[in-house]
Amino acid sequence: MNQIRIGAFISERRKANGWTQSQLAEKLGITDKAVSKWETGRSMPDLSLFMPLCTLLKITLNELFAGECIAEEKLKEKADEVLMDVITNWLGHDQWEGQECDAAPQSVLEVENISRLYETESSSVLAVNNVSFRIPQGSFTGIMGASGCGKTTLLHLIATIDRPTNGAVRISGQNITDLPEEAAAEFRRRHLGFVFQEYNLLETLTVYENIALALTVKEVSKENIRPMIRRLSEKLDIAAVLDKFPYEVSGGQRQRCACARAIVANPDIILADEPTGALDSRAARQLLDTFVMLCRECGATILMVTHDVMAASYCDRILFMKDGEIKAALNREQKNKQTFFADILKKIQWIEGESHDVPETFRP
Amino acid sequence: MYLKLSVRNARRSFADYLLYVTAMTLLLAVAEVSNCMAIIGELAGFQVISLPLLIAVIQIVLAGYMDTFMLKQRAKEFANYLLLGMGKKRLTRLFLWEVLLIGFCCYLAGTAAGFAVYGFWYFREPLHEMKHWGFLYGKSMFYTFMSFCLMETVCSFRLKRRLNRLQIRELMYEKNRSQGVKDTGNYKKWGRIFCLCFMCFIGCVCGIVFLPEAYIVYPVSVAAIPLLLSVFAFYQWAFGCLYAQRKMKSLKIYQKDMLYITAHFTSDVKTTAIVNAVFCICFLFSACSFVTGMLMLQPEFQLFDTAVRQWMGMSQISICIVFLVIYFSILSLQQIIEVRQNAKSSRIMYCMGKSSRQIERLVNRQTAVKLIAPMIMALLILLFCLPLLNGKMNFILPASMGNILYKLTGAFGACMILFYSCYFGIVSAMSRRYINSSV
Repeated sequence: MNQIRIGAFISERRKANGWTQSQLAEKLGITDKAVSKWETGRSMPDLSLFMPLCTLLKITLNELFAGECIAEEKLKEKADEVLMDVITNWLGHDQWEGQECDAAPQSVLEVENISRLYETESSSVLAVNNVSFRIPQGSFTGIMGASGCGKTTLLHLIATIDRPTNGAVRISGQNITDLPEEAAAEFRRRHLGFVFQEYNLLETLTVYENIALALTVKEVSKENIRPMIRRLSEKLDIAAVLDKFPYEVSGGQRQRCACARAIVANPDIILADEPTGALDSRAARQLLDTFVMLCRECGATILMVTHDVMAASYCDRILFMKDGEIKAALNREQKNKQTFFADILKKIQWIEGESHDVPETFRP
Repeated sequence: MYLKLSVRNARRSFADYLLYVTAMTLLLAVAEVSNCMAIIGELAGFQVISLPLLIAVIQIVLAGYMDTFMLKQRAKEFANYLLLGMGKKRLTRLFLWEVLLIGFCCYLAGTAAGFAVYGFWYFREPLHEMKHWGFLYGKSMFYTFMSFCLMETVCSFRLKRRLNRLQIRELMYEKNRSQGVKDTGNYKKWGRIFCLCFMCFIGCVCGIVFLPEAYIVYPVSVAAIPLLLSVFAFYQWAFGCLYAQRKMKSLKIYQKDMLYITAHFTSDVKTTAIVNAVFCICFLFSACSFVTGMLMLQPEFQLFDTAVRQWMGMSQISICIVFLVIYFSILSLQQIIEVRQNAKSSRIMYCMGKSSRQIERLVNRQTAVKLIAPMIMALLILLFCLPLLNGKMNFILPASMGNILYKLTGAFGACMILFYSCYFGIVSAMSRRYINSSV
């Protein structure tokens, strides 16, 4: 299945019907951004949207997956081809679920030589020191390190909550380091989603209202709010608790609600600050599976800060931080979770003893 | 150990206690002033005992609200005491003694402050030279003490019942708990009651205006009952309706900041409705006192001799100020407490993409609604009654006092705007401080 080809086909059929992206989005009850992401091959439509989309574009499901109009005489042959393609795609994800696109994925986040110095009258602390890295579209990246190594500070710099002393941060190509306060808020609203360790849900709002609040802040049309929340809550298995208040549901459900709030408006990148910190191992695994699912199925890009090796083993790539610097990086490539877990432990061991060895050169 | 823990926790929640103490002292100072006025009025041959009684009722409602607030703030701490093995009875006793002790300190401070304020305004006037100030202070303190005891007894009883009902798990979540309504369709019933009572009230006003003089006494004597009922029913209906909209996920509230503001005003829907009704009555009482006082001070108004007229006029205006101070101070304090409690919400909104200036604007809107909500019903009443009563006054009073009710209501409106602007400014400045420190 070629996602880019499918996207181009959706675009072509939309234009043939004389609709804009907004008009198509409105008909499907979703955001313009989602349609834009399909058309550029950055994500695929949700399962529940396939049939309404095909009906609207006046195409068959086979034609959608093939990414082209199929002539009557080639229908059987093409249908088998598409089916085979789908099955291969499905079975091939048994161990490694990473996206394999023909085109090299675009970078969503580019961090270039950023530093953050905190100065008081008597002392100064370099919390982040000359850090550079890139995060590709649709990836699940982790930042690991011990407490106080600067990982949350780094996340705050990326989130426009704090400003770097030096360097630049680009998200979707836009430099966010020098944005004035109002523009930074606008940027957070349009491009970022957050998941925190302490859930940070508003206690006076129900789970449904907490998710809806994110959409009202992002000024999503009020008619689209209900279908969007319904779809996402079913996907994240929180549909049954939507009318409950956060204090009435379990920690895992609360965190999935926070996750839904972060993802619902389709941000460019989700920033998660130790999201499994307050969860038991089962709830943590469920949440991490949700993150992986969001990456694979919704094309979400996630940057997660953690010190938990188990949580890190779900990532596609891990950056190891120590004393404000990125000391090493580890790519999952096509390893299974167990092998990757063992590799992370080895890497941590190496970093612990790194002061005695020759340092590894980290390439962003 | 429990005492040590209790003192330490009280120190930690100093800001909450400061607000509690300020509000209680203010209420008791107002009670003292009203008692002084009632005593002096009694000596001068006027019947003003209804004033301290009304203030006592308002005090009971507001003290109940503040006690609940303190219980919510410290509920988690109480759950920890129970986990450590403290008995429920002992815990209840400890908390009630604490509330009583703080209340008594507020009583001493409040009566001293209230008497000082009263003395500053009134003691130079000839009407008050007839009795020694010690007599007045002693008697007013006794009256205030009686209303304080009544307030503490009612509130302690309610607190005791509430504490007995709450188990450890519930205490753990008490701070975040939202007060819901079981039957969301209940507001329709309140709407019907409101319409009925309001029509009865308008009927009474029409009776006062149009009935022959011999029969006016009947609508005058019963008008207060449909008035109070319609105020209470109106706020039950209004907040119930808002809560039902929220429960039904009405699309109307899912735009701009409506959801956040609606949730803010309906998280404690029953208490909010009662508090708004009480403040609405405060506002109405204040407006009536102002108009009566100003009317008394008019030189053309020759009902009593000049000294008595002036004393009565000034007393009525003082009552107006007392009620305005209660109205704005308590609502402002309530809003400041809520902004402080919602510091985490501000932080979350900031991360979601609201700038600190947008959050400030949102909180200012909340403050504006909070300060104006109890006035809505009062304005509705004035809108219906004013033309009728003004017509009647024009008929009774000399031509030189034509449309006097409109003029005096206009003056009261100007006074309100002044009070509103000052208190809004103060709350806004304090909220800004809290918001900036939280984001």
